[in-house]
Formats: sequence, structure tokens, C-alpha cells
Amino acid sequence: MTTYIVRRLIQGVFILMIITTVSFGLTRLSSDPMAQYTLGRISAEDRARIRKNLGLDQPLPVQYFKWLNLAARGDFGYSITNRQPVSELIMQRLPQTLVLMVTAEVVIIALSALLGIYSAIKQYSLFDNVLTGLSFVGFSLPIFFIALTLMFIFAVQFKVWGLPYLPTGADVWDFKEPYELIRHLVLPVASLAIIQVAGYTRYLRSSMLEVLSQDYIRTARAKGLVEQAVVVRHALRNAALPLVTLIGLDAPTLLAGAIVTETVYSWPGMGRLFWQQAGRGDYPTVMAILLIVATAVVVFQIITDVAYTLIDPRIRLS
Amino acid sequence: MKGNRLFYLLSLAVISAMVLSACAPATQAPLPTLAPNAGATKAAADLAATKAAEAAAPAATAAPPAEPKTLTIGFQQEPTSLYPACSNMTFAVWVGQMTNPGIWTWDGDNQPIMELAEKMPNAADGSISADGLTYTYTLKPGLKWSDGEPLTSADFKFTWETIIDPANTCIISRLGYDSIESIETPDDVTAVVKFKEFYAPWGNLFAMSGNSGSGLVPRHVLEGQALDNNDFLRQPITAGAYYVESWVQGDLITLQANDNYFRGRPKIDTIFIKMVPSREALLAALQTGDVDLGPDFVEASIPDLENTPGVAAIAITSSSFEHYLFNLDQDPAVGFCPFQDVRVRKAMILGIDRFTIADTLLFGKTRVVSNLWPNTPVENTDLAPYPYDPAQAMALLDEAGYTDADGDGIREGACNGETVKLSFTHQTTTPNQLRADVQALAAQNLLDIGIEMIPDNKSPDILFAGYAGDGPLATGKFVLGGYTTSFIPDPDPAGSFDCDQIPTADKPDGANWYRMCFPELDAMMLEQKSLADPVARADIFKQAQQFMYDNALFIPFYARLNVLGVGPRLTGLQGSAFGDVYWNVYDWDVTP
Repeated sequence: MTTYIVRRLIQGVFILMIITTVSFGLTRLSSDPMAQYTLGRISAEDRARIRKNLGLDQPLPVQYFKWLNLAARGDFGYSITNRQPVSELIMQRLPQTLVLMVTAEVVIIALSALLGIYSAIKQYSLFDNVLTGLSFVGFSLPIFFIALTLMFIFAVQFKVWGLPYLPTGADVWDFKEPYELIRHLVLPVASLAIIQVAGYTRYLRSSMLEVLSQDYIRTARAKGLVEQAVVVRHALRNAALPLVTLIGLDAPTLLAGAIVTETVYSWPGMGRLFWQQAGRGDYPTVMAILLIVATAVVVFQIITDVAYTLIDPRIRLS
Repeated sequence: MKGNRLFYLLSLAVISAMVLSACAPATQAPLPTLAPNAGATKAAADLAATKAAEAAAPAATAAPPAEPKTLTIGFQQEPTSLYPACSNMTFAVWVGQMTNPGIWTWDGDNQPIMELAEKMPNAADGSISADGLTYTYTLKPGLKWSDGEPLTSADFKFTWETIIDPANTCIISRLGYDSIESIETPDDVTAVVKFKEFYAPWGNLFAMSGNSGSGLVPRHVLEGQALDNNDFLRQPITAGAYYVESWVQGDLITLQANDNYFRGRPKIDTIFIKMVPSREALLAALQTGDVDLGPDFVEASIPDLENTPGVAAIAITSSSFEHYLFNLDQDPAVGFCPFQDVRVRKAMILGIDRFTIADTLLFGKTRVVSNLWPNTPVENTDLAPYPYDPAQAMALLDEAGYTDADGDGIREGACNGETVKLSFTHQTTTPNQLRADVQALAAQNLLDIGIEMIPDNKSPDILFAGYAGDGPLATGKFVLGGYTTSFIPDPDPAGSFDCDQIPTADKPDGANWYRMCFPELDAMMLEQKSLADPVARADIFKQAQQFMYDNALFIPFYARLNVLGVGPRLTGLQGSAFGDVYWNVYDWDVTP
């Protein structure tokens, strides 16, 4: 097991190297940080000075290795637009993103498990059919539509109708009070949950259905076990593997944030920071976020693999 | 039974959310319909009141009211710095106008209005030397920074030193400041500025308009410190109506009323600037009263704003203009040969129905322009926009030798010894619904006269990329481009039409993206830079506009609208092309 983890970690370093090279190339070639200095009251001399100051006058490979040299030592450099350390920008946003995404993930897993299992047990019941229909609708809707619709109904229209309403934006400065935080979390978490729950429920339902038809489930029932024990102890444990894989894949997004949801609900998270700085050609910030997320992907993949062995003792890593 | 339990749980979740909502602070009163503020057309009485307040400086500081008045502004983009000289964002400029507008700004009539300066230097009283190289600036007496320290001419001089200091790499533009040779400060209120060479746009320096500039910086705070990564960029000490109390990045800038402001404490105690990056969310926030003022809407948002209960739309006609630019490079390998013929260029202007575009897509709230200095004092108002006249356009194309010989609906003709089809791409920014709509109409109009214009839009960071970044406009890899810009408050176009500013590998940062080189125009641009007399200078600009008009050097579309959404509580807004709405923030008020 230890050998396996060490080998995967070494592979991970190489994967990260490839990811940073490709990301740097794409980031730098897809947008020019100088684009924002081309219009307006600025002279040719100013533009030349800014390009030199930002190191943009050097060949791309030189820029990459300079960045890599610092990043390898944990120094993400300075934002070229805000002139402050990238780590500072990220540390301002990371807690906000974690609050939103972890809450959303907990809600998503809990709801998916509940609905997925129930749907499988009650296959082809009215509830199952309705849930299946709603899952497809939820899965097909774009997140911006869901987020804006929820905002329109629960923030705008509820106020117009004279009902208690939810806030439109984050207002992080109010978060000192827990109930304020929860009020502000309801709509963004609901937006994220609607799409994810729709998908997860389908996976868990089909996985549960497969397990429930296995011989050992029949045996468990034949032994006289109560249905609850059969479902939770025997079926769910085996059916959860695909869900663990999905959660493992999703885990890095806890750090990456959700660009659309954060934008619609003015949530000052990592997704918005990434989107905003990418549009401004701030490649040090963009690269830092990409590297953090890529590292999280590699690490969570390894954790997922290890988690398999804990859930299913038949799986051995070598 | 279990089904009931599940529904019970779901119901519980919904009810919990509603209970939490019910715990919200008391809802505001229903939003009454608001008559839009006058916007660009401001009342003379308001101006008189403003000027009276200015004359009364330094006013007695009024005691803060028992119930603090607050206002929330929603910004769709977050400034990169709150010291505008270190940011190229208009959003940073707006914060600067509210906190640190410099020695003067521009009012609701586009006229300079004194802030820290007592008066503008002028030749009449000798504060501008006869050779136009020495300017004597006089500050108001008794000025103070927001931290209570005195503001003197030493700060004025220190501001110049800060901007030209090579260690301060965050400074975006030194234009004009690098023309200053020295500044002397004989007393606390006087600064004598000596220029190395005559610099016509001197009025832009140390001042702020609604789209550019920066105020003074405090020597007692920054002396001996580098500006890069300085806390000053995020929490500057200022001298305007408000000061920055805090900035939670990504979320909220809090401005507090400055008791040391020379006009006295402003009427509103606290201004929250909330980051609302989605236009739709900003509209919703305006409707719910979470936000009182939402700037930077687009023209296409006007119906949405007008149809939203409790929200008023203000559309200020700006000096920014939307135009299409021809690639006029004389090298056939770079430029598009048919554009060298003025008849083709003129035919394209005549062939696009810009009037329908202004009336329908811009809801008749702006006008078609004939030049690149709309709504400025130097605009040549004698020039009427070319009419929409497809018949004349086709006659001109026929005369230039472009006919549809092969019957495919697109004209072709001989140019530089080769047959060239009048078919080309048009590059403007995306996503931008208005631009796309204008482009579609223009393409249809042009097709009707036998010209094929194919949209090839790019995101702004690609279209505006520099020469080294292979930007199509900077490198001349375009045929017909399109974007918005402005030449205000000083009309100097910063080299945009100068022959020696055409970007090349040797001069990659040249500003002349039109790639035009007309010796007559070049001479006029050179002359305007040398004239101290504003009237004579305006004459040159008017002549230049006539030359551009006669030679159809670009397709001017319309003056852009600066669209804001305003909630029912806010009063006192007066918009203008030069000052935006923030110039008189001290006069804003909120109703309970």
C-alpha cells in the first residue's frame, strides 16, 4: 500500500509538470496581459515600460521557467493587475469557497443518498418515476438558469409578493452571525445541489438496483434480517463505490469553486477570482489556481483509490 | 409510510428556509416609481447650489446625524487598486472620484470644477508663463487629508515624484508627468510646475474625470516607501468627500464620510460598494433594494431597467464613440487595397443605416455621430453625419470600378493590378449583444449594396492584445475593426492618427491602429500639441474632423450611452460625459 501511494505521488509530480506546461502555454497564448493597456490615455513608452516590468518582453519559455522556479518553492509571485501576492488573493477567497462548496457537497451527498436509495427500493413507484423525470430536468438545465430563476423567485418575487425573501448576494460582511450565513447560503447551495443531486441520484439508484438483485441480498433477507439492515449494511456499502468515485472526482472543485454560482450570487470565492483574473490576463493568479486544483485532483485520486479498500475489502492496491 | 416521512423531511427543509428568510431584517417599504433624475441635463439651480457650496469652503463640519445614512452601489467589476494611477479600470476611477478627485474634476456641464485647487492656471493672471512652459498652481488654504494631516504643495510635488519614480512599477500612465522638468513649492499652497516641453493636455494632470486621472498622494504616508504592494493601493489616505474605511476584496469596499473634506461632511455617511459581477443579479439587487445604484449597464439593458418596478434608468450621452476602423495601411500585404479609395470608404458609410440602429437598438436615446469627439467642446458641430443613401453608395462603388461582374451579389474590381472582391471580415469584441446586433444590421445593409462583411469577433483580451501578443488590431491583421474609445477630457488623441505611431516590429507600442498616414492630418495633430490657446487648438481639431469627414477615414456610429440603474432612495445624481455621476458625490442624499 505504501509503495503504491509513493509511486502514485511520484507519477503525480510528472502529471503536474505536464499540466503546468500546457496550462501556462494556453493561458499565455489565449490572452495577452497587455490587452488592457492598449486603449486610452497611455503612451507607447508607457506600454513598453509596463511590458518590461511585467517580464512580458522575455521569451515565453523563459517566463515559464521563471514562474515554475518560484512555484516549486511555493511562491506564486505577484498578481500583475493587483500588485499584491497571489497567495494573499487566494487566501482571501479560499475560506469563502470552502464554506459554500463544502456545505453544498454535504447537502448533495445527503440528498442523493436519501433519494437514490429510496428510488431504488421503490423502483417504478410513482415517487421513482417522478424523481427520474425531475432528475433529467435538473441534469439538463444550465446552472445559470437555475441560479437566476431561484433568485428571481425567492429573492425578487417573494419581496414583491410581500413574503419573507432571501438575499440576492453574498454580503460576506454580515457573516458574523450564523443565521445570516445560512440565509445567504440557501440559494447558492440549492442551485449547486439541484444539478448535482440530479446526477448523483441516478448513479446511486442504478448501483443500488444492481446490488439489490444480487444473491447475497436474497440470502440476507432469507436469514431474516430486517429490511433496513439489508439496505444499509449490505446493499449500500457495496453500491456506494461509484458514488465514492464521483465524490473523489468532485472534491477538487471544493477548492476551485463554482464560477457561475459564485458570479450570480456575488459570492467572493475562488471560481470568481479565477474567472475575473483570467479575463484580465493575470496569469500568475490563474496559474496558481490551476496548480492548486490540479494538485487537488492528483491527491484526491489517490485518496479515492485508498478509500475503495476501506469500503470494499476485496479491493487490494498493489 | 416511508414516503410520507420523505415528504415530511423535504417540507421541513423548505419551511426551515422560509423561517430563516422570515428572520431577515424588516423588509423595506414598497418601492415607489421613480422619476429618473435629469442625468445629462442638469438643473441650473443644482449647479448654483454646488458652486455656492464650493465657494463656502472650508465649510463648517456638520455633526453626523443620529441615524447614519447609507448607500449601496453595485460594481460589476472590482477595481484592481483604489489608487487609480495604479489601475486602468474605470471602476477604480469612480472610487477615486468619490475619495480623491485631485485638484479639479469636471461637472455636470463638462466644465472644470475646482477641488483642491483654488483656480486653474491661466494666461490672463500670469499663472501660465508666456512661453507656456511654467504653470503656477494654487491650492486652497487649510486643506487636510482624511487622516487629519495638512495637505500642502509638498504633497502635490510628491505626487509627481511618485508617478515618475521607476521603482513604482504599478503606475500605468506617466503621460504628461514625464514632460515635467521640475516642481518648486515656494509656500504651502503654491506649486510652480516647469515643463520640459509644451504639453497641451496639461489640464489632465493631477485631476480626475469620470474615466481617467488620479488624485494627489500624501507625502507623510508614502515618503520613502515603494508603491507596489503597498497597503496604500488598497486603503489609501485621501482628500475627497469620502475615505476608504475597508476593502474586503471580492466583496465590499466601505467608504466613510470624510470630516476633513473641504466642502464639509457629505450628506451620506457610509457608501458601500458591493461587488455584483452579474448584470442580471445587479438588476435583481436594484429591485429588492439591496443596491441603490448600479452603474455600467449596457444600452441593451435600458428596457429591462425601465420595466423593473422601483428602478429608474439613467442614460448619459457620453463622449465615447462606437466606430468601425478601416485598415488603411498603404502596404497591400497589410492593408485592404480597396480601402485606399475614398469612394469605397464613403460608400460604406452611406450604405449603413446608422440612424435605424440608433433609433431601434439604442432606443433613440443617442445620436449618430460624424466625428470622434462627440459631446466635447472641440466637436465640429457643422458636420452632419452622412445620410443613409444606398443609391449614392452604389453609384460611388460603380464609379470606383467595383461591380458585380460574376453575378454572385458581391462586387469586385481592379485594385493595384489585381481583381479584389469586396468581401472581408469584421472584427469587434464578443460577447456583446449590442455589437452583434449592430454588426448584423450593418452586414445586411452592406450586402444590399454588394459588399460582404463577415463577422469574425474576438474576446477583448485577444482583439486588444499588443503587438507582441499578436493582437489583430495592433499588428494590422484585420480588414475592418470595431470598438469604442474616447478622447476626453483633453481632446488629444495620444498619437492615434500620427504617421510615426503605426505599430511595427521596431515600434510595437504605436497607438495608430488605423494605420493611416496623411501628412495634412499629421501636421494638424502636431500643431494642436503645440498650441496653448484653447480656442486656436479647438479650431485645429475642428479642421482635423473636417479632413477625417471629407476623407471618410472611419465609420463613426453613435455616441455611447452610460447607463445606470437607480433605486428610489438616491437623490442628487447629475451625470455628464466628462464627470460621470460621481463628481458631485458630496451632494448625493438618500431618503429614508
